[in-house]
Amino acid sequence: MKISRRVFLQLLGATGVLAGGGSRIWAIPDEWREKLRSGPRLETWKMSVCGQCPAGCGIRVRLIDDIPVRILGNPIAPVNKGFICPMGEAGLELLYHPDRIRSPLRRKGKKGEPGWESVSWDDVLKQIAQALRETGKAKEPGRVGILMGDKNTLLTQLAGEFASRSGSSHFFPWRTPSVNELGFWQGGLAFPPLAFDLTRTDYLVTFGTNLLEEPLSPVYFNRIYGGLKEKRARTGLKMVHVDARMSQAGRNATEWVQIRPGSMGVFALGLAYVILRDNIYDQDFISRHTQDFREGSDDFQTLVTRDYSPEHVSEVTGVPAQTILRLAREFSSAKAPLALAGGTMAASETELFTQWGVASLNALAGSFTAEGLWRDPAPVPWDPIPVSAFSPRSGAFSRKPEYALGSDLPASWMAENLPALAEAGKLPDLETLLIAHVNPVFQASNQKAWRDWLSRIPLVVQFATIIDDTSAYADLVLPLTTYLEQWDLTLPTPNLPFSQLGLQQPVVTPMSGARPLGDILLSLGREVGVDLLPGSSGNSYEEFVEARMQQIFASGKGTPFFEAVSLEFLEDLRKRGWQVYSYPAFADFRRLLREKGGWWDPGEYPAVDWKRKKTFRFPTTSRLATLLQESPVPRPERDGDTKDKTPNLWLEEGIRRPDGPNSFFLVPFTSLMNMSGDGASQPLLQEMFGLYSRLYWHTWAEMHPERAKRLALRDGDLIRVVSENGQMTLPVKIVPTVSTEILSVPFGQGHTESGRHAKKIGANPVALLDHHTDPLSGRNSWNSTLVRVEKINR
Amino acid sequence: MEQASAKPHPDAALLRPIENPGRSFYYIVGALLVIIAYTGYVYFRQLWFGLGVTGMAQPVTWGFYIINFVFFIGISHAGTLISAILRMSKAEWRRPITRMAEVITAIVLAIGGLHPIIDLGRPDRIMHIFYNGRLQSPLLWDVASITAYFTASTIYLYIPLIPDIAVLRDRGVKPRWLYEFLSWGWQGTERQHKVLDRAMNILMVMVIPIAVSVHTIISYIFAMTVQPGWHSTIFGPYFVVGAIFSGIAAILVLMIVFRKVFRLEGYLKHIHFNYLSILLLIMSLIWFYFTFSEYLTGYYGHEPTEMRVFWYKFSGDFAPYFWAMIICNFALPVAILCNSKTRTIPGILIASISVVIGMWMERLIIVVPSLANPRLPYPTGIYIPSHTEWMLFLGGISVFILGYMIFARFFPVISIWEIEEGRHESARIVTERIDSYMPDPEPSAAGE
Amino acid sequence: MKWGMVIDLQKCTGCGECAAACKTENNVAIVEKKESEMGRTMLWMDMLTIYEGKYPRLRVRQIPRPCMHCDHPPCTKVCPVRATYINEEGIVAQIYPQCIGCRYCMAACPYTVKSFNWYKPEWPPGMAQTTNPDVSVRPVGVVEKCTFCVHLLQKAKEQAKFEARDLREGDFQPACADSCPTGAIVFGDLENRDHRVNHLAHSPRATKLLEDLGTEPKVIYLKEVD
Ligand SMILES: Nc1nc2c(c(=O)[nH]1)N[C@H]1C(S)=C(S)[C@@H](COP(=O)(O)OP(=O)(O)OC[C@H]3O[C@@H](n4cnc5c(=O)[nH]c(N)nc54)[C@H](O)[C@@H]3O)O[C@H]1N2
Ligand code: SF4
Ligand code: SF4
Ligand code: SF4
Ligand code: SF4
Ligand code: SF4
Repeated sequence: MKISRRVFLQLLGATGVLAGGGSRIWAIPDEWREKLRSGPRLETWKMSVCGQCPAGCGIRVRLIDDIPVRILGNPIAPVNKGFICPMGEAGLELLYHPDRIRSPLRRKGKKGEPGWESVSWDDVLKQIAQALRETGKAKEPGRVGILMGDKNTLLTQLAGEFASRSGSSHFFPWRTPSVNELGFWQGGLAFPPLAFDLTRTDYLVTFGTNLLEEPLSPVYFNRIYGGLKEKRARTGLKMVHVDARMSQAGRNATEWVQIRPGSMGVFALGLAYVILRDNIYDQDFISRHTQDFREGSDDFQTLVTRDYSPEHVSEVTGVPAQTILRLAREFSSAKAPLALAGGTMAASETELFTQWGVASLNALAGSFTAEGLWRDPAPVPWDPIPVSAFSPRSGAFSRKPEYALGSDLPASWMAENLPALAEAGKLPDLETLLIAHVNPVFQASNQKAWRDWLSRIPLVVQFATIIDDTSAYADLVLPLTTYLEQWDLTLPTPNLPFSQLGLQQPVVTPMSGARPLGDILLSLGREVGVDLLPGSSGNSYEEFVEARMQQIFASGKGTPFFEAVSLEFLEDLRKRGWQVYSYPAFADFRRLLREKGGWWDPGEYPAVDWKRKKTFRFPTTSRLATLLQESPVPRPERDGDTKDKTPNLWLEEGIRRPDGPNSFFLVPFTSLMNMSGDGASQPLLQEMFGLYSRLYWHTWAEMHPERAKRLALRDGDLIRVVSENGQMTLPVKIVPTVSTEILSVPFGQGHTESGRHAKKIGANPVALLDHHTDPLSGRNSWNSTLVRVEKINR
Repeated sequence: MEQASAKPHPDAALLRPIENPGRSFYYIVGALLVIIAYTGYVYFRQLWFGLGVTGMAQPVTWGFYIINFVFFIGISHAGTLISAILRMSKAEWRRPITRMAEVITAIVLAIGGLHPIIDLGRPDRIMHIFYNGRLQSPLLWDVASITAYFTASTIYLYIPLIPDIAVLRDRGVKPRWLYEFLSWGWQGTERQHKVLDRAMNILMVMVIPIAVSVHTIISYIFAMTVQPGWHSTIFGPYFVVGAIFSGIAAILVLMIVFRKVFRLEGYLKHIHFNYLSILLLIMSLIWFYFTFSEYLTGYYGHEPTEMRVFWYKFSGDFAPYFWAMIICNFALPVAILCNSKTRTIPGILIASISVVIGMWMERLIIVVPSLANPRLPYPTGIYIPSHTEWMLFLGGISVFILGYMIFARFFPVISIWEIEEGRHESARIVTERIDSYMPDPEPSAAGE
Repeated sequence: MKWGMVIDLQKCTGCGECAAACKTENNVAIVEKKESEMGRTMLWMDMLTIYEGKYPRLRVRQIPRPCMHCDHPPCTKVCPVRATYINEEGIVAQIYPQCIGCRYCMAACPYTVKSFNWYKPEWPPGMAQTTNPDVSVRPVGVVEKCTFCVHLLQKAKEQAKFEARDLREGDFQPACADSCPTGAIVFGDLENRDHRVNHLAHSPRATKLLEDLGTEPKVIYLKEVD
């Protein structure tokens, strides 16, 4: 064959084009193509509120030609002042998640197995309404339950309303208790617990409390911590973190005190012992505003001086007696000492006891009288919202106007233990359970009990954005919109010293097929004859939100968020009866809220007025005994239990210790990049998860170098972690930031579902936990499981 | 194949592989082509998907391709440089060796020179080197010096090949047009010989500094950074020594193979191996001396970043390779070559293969550990070469063997005319030379 | 004019928001699990962790690490095609369409800050449309790193020009500085005595990473003293 030069060149060219068109190297990236096609590039900004965690940060979304390209902080939102956290940053990955459910699904196979068929919204809503009506009428009431992850928004209220109005008292909000919640509960102080102004303390002790990586609110607290860290170089402010693991809270403290998991309460009372012995406590406050400090023989002082000598405490906690003495003296001699307890890391079998002890420590050391340190949260100016409570005595759930401090328990404490309550006969067999915003089969430490319990309930309806671990035990899954496609109002953040309502509004048109949970509940309500939107025929949750906004408007209190002005100036304005904005009509108010992102009551909550009614109740032997007797969940039986043991020592006896070179406490910890496990669905967060460990998209086990050396482990070696509940294989990360007794494993990975980015990535340490509960609060423990570690030879 | 000429040539053994290649030639070529075709496919995949198909990552951003680049270029020093040195020093025993050595250079240089391109993330943008080239970058120096070396050594291979091509042309070996064209009208006249000699002399002188510069500059790629383990003033000579060292080992291996395959016992005698292996022994000692100085100064300096790399090699992840390198490059060859009883052909073969492997490991040990141990507290990097990289390594070796076989199929691997010249002239030249350095006879004695 | 950054480690809590903000602002691709295990994760802003001392004196230093924008950059010196260079304002920039992907600059950077696109960067389906149109998406086979958010500088300059005024301090804040909740990252002109970075850079706490190498980083850290 003769090929002319020209033909040859043409052929060459054609080959080039072919190779160029096909090869990834030569091709124009798709993203550029998409951009090249795009429109006039109009930039717009929309205000809303982040919904990735309950902290309620104001966000500002940048849209180009109506496509959101980045989420930033709303600079005038008081809680976050323009900043967000990595989870907030990843929001668009949730919005555009490729595995979002696009139509209602009905189970095809048996529970626990995959297999769904698409069904229409009409059919599925009818089916649920039918079930609700039948269970409501035909059988005894209370066979319907709603389990709902409480994102601290108005939506929880709507769901609670829906439950009680349709005749069920079984509304189970699922929420991590805020800091101090358990302690203040028993101390009879306040609920939600008193807020505190971290900037006012000169001596901070955190008992496992990791404000920087847990809700609520990491952005706020990182910001405040930054300020405290800067200040302490000048003022000598001390920040002590007591924990078995040096979390971000420990890394940013001035001192980290290693402690045996579960023994923090003993430690707190050990400090109290020194303070009492040295007579350096706030006698004035104690005599005026406390109960049970010194009354006969059943009082706090007797309890502490009898059982918590530094030597004994040192033996139980592993903290040197020297340190106990020093910290106690430093703490009580500080002007504004502040001890905080609570959070995931502190959830142990002695959680409530610990928090109560820490609250007592604050009372002793004069924290409560330090100027402006503690604040009384002012209620939002709208109709009070009923709360969900659980009575340990009767075992009944109820919704009531207000908590009775100290008697009933917040229902949210019980949410994780519903299967155990059902087992113990404290909860009737449910016929229908609606689940939203929570993934108990992944998050709960008693996962097997959850799987079994959900399998037994005839109709489990799950509302979800992405099929998750719990979906396998649901009969129907209804697709929800994300927080970027719906209306809501986020409520004031507990613990924070000011009030704020964030307005969540759709940033983009909702994905077709998915619906906002609010709208679904409203229309379900209509179906079963419950009108949750009086005066309107629609089923739009937006109207429900608007009704609340109108109440705020009508109250005349507060103002939409505004650009920074000094508080003095603001006070001046207020005195003259002026406002930053003028909004004669509700429409103006509403427009301002949408533009500015929310409402707040400027300034901070007032300092706690102890003269008005506030009294702190110290723990005593008999109170602890009563609590133990009324334990909401079956109390564990121990070998050699003797009736004459005082309850505090009985609790102390339950603190485990590793019993051999292979034995460790398994301590799961949460990460700012993932929190309750939801972050795993988003690739950015999967990557950020490994920011500190450099093990991205992974679960690892942190071990102290000394222990690793004894087990002949090198960084990155694989180990098998074995508990009574199972085992998992993890790479070991050798770091000095854990105590020698613990093996610390990040929580958040190990999903069986939750989308392509989460599925089968890493492992879930919570699945290994023994089902230990705090008998006083009924909450599950994260800190008391012993595991065995075996090296895997590769 | 038809015998072109009936007259038996005195160096018929050298012509045999060309005039009568035999079957096994085709089998081996076939096998090599299969490997090369597969390598081509693997490389195409790399082009298609990107360098992700390799085992490189952050911080070990350079791997096999750069290692093999340094290694192959090192081997290439076997040829032209050694041949030029031997020619210049008028070592008579060079005659059967030079051609073989020069061919190595030309082929290996072509392969080695391609490696940086294989290593590029964007080979399609190679022309940027010309429009946007920055002369300040050592990589550009490399481009220049390798191009120069390749040009010079191909010419240097070709020119002394012309008289032999003429022999083949005259014997009517096919394809005639090839020999006709390449022999450039060589008739073996006095004048032609003179021109040839002159050309050779000029090239000889040119090639030595170019060759030295090539490997010096390759070492500069590393030495011009501030990275621990790389930033060293002795890197230039260290690399040149290593290159010559591995080059000699490669020639020895090749000589032994050809001797066996083409039955060249009559040409490649024990003496050649003896001389070359003593050279190898000397290079081994020099190499060790450099290695020793490099690490001892590093150790005494005890800079933390330097020590992180040092321990990584001495007792860390790379210790097996490091100590294997010491054995391959020093302990084993010295042990074998010091002793005239073990300095036999099999002994030399073992020592040479060991050096080739050892020098490859040296390149590995220079490239990877410095990258794997960054200065800042990052975790130590890992590098596990992928199937693609192994295939390209194997493919490179296959191309070399194929290239060499094809060369040997068409041209004599031992210079016929130089051997012939040796037969006729050596004795006279050597006598004259010896005379030139012997003390002149006493005039009185002469007078007697 | 010399743009520079001061990171106050006494303020920084190591929250990691700067790293996340940098990724979303600059379209830095997410590297999936298998690749990340090989060490191919791309973080223009990384986090270094240094453990000092032993418990009870253990201190953990967390150091956010962008590109140092060295004033004597070892990386630009070795680039064969000027795909990385230092501009008049001191920013060490990358020219993606010119980079041949030799990775010499990566090998030469003593801070190990550069990332390479081993594969074509991919976004999960649907996410590609949310990339920032102001920042080019990198093709396969080129090196990338922190650019000091030079696209925002460009925008700020355009805005200033439009308003017929000079660039003011704060007009140009890179994404990391802008999103740091503690205000630990301060950005500005190191040569302008009115800019905060100029003062901070002369603080007695000021220090630079690997200062002895003479690379003259324009990212300056303020040491943690307590
Ligand atoms: N202007 C001027 N020039 C001079 C001289 C002079 O007096 N004035 N003196 C001349 C003389 S006498 C000499 S000897 C030369 C010296 O000149 P050089 O040989 O350049 O010696 P140095 O500059 O001392 O150091 C060389 C490099 O080695 C590095 N280095 C240090 N330890 C090690 C190690 O363990 N391993 C490796 N690989 N590298 C290491 C150092 O970082 C340094 O960059 O300079 C000559 N040049
Ligand atoms: S703290 Fe919570 S609400 Fe705030 S940005 Fe992060 S995830 Fe969103
Ligand atoms: S965002 Fe600020 S506080 Fe957080 S890690 Fe970065 S520099 Fe530190
Ligand atoms: S830090 Fe590295 S990449 Fe950045 S300018 Fe310096 S040498 Fe170049
Ligand atoms: S990888 Fe690109 S930027 Fe880096 S040196 Fe090579 S060509 Fe220059
Ligand atoms: S300056 Fe910009 S590119 Fe550099 S780390 Fe900060 S956000 Fe990333």
